Amino acid sequence: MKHGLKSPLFWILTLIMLVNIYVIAFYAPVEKTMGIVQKVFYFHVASAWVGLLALCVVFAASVLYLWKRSERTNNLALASAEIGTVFISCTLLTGPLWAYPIWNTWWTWDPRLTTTLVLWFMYVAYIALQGGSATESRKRLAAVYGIICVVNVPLVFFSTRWWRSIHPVVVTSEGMALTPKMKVAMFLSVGVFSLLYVYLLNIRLKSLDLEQRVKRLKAELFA
Amino acid sequence: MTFFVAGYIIVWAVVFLYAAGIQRRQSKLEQELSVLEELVQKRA
Repeated sequence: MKHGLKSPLFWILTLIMLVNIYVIAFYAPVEKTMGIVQKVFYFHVASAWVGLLALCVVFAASVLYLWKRSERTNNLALASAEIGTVFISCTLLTGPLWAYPIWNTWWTWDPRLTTTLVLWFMYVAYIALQGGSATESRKRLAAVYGIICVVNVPLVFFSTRWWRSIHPVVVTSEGMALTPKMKVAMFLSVGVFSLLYVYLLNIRLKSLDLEQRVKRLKAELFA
Repeated sequence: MTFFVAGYIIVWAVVFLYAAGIQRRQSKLEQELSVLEELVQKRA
């Protein structure tokens, strides 16, 4: 697969991103009570979605690693965890930008916010486990840890239903509390961020593959 | 408006920095790999 400016996915992604910016800014209506700051929601939710999706991929890749012991599945889990950290960081940074004008505080120990922060720490711990020149036993340990971490996905998602929370609930059992135009903007954002995840995953997997080839050649030369 | 623009800039800056970091690392690795492959060929 081609990367960077040569990749067709890069150009498709750039085009859809521009369309997405236009849709959020001009097509999606301004919410009556919150005003324009509500539009933070479109990329806040989309980055949270990718953060949770990435953890599910870490889980699946970790299961496969323990089963097959293939280096590629370990790389997939590591790459996905890194990208998940990037997107959960975006979620944690954009949330307060909405919260301050609406809640009059940057942060509160609300169940949704707390479980998301825990998720960020889980990701960081996973990357630390895989960091440096991870041995076979460290990789196995990281895989087991990656499987355990997935427990946090339903905790983050259902935290607003299971515990008393002030965080807005958009997806309820009765549907979505959004106007049709808002739904278009939200689904487009989720789609763009998901494509971005696939793109970043591809380039990170290639660089991890290169790292291993360099390591192997060095070992061969200096043996 | 300020918070909305700030949010958008933060998201794209974080993603762009991560992608640029990978690309930079990748091009360094590609260079290193070609040098190593040359060395291996010379050795053989």
